[in-house]
Amino acid sequence: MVYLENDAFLNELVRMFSKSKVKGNGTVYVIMKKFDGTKRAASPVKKSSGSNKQKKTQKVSEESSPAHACLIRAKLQNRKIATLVPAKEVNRFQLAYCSVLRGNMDALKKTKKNKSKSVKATS
Amino acid sequence: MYLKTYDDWEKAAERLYLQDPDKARYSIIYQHNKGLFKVKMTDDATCVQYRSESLQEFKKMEKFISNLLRHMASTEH
Repeated sequence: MVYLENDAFLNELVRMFSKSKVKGNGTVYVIMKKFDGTKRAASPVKKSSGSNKQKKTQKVSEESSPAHACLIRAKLQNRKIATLVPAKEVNRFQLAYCSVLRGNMDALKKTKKNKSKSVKATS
Repeated sequence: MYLKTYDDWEKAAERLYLQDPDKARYSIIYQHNKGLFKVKMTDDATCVQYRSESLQEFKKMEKFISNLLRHMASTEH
């Protein structure tokens, strides 16, 4: 899967949320996961298959993963997007990401306020 | 497995994540027409879920998300 830039991902996420509202039956999935640069799907190297191979695979994975990151995926029906957030970008991304989520989940209710009001009304 | 209160969920999810940060994944599912969101933390063996319609609880969740994001992106623990 192609990883989008952080900002492009957020823009796309906003578009997904608004699309899900228009269609009325949309469900947005957002998945967060730790990413260490290695592909989990790759089959593990057997111990008996010689140390050379093992060294090679280890090198490759180390080179491709200089830093740890957080993998974020989002899905709406068939559309899937993904991004990697490196440690450097966390602060900036977190603010934008949370505001996108909060801003778009506007069908949620303010239940607690209503409850306290009704309690006051009855007492 | 759905938990009844948000605080229970948060504790359970945190424990699950810290057990094995590499395996755990966290998802938010938002259904606009029903006006609810679900959150899930799983490591493919156990799974803790929580479902809510409250905006207030989502705001609490935001703090959790921020911490989690920071934790996931940080280098070795």
